Amino acid sequence: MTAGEPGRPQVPGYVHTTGRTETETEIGWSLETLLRVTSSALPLNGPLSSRSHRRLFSDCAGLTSVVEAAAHMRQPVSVVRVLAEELVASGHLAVPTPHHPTRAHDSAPSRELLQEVLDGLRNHEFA
Amino acid sequence: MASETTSSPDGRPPLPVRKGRAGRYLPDTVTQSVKILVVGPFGVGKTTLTASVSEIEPLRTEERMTEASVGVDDLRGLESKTETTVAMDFGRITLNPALVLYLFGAPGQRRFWDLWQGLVVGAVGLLVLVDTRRLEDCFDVLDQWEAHRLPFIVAVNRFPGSEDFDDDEIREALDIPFSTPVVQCDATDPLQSGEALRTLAAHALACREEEALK
Ligand SMILES: Nc1nc2c(ncn2[C@@H]2O[C@H](COP(=O)(O)OP(=O)(O)OP(=O)(O)O)[C@@H](O)[C@H]2O)c(=O)[nH]1
Ligand SMILES: [Mg+2]
Repeated sequence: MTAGEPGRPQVPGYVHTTGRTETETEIGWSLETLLRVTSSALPLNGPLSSRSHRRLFSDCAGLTSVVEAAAHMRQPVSVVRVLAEELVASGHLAVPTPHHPTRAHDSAPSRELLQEVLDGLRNHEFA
Repeated sequence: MASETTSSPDGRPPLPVRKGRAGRYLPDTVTQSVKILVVGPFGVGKTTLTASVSEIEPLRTEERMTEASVGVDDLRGLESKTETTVAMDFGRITLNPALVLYLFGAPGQRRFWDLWQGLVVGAVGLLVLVDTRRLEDCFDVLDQWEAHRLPFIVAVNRFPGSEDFDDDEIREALDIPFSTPVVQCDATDPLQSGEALRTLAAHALACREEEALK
């Protein structure tokens, strides 16, 4: 496992963004993209205070993913993803910085990540 | 490990094990998510396999598909569309304090995949479930997914009454490379389903390493 790995912070970092355009290029949004509220989040207001925005915000009280939040909200992932992008851009939600960053021009998981998946499955107790 | 199983000595089917051992939220230490797609024709056991290995009760995500229908209404400028809801079940396994794996039981038909943007992108690989009683139902699924060039393995879901075929017979029938792993798997059994996932991950890693040598 990775817990004792040198140089890995105990508290994970988050992808920080300043504006919407930057957000879209930095985060490779997918169904499994992780999400949670930021510790410094201010109350939702203005166009971000719709029922759906508030629901997503409260569903992300702990670390979750776009698809899980969507399932709990009974909303299509396509809808929730747009809400999530808005709330990430506004700083209310954040996406953890992956410890295996994806490389440009190659969306496939790296060798290191695949090894970690395999090790994880080998150590996992099914049943 | 086996202490958790509930299979009985008299050959009765195992009792279902209650899920919910994992909380709704992931541990705060998780920084990465990956996915495996469980694909196969209608009723082959995608949801069953996902449920047997998932640490949460499988969840369902739905997308609406709108298909325009041609009719007289169009002439009057009125909307004439039919709406269908397409569902996909998914589960998850937290693999280590920093990594979570999602399993998506993707629908078999191609026209549905595009409803979920990015469903295929970045996946570890595909677990193609087949039922030997109706192998031809898988041809179309394989045709579609092979185009995505993701690593895949074939898991033969053993239903009562299925005949035995050896791995090479399956490969030949499905016209897949001899390097493709084929596993026999009862989708209701977490141990066998977990073993199928391990085989897929090992195959994906081997494919990646082979690619790096080129
Ligand atoms: N005996 C036995 N029954 C199985 C097995 N896998 C699935 N089934 C049964 O087969 C039926 C279909 O399984 P599902 O898991 O719903 O199949 P699916 O691929 O998700 O089906 P769709 O989502 O409708 O395409 C259910 O009644 C299951 O209980 C298996 O390994 N053994
Ligand atoms: Mg299903």
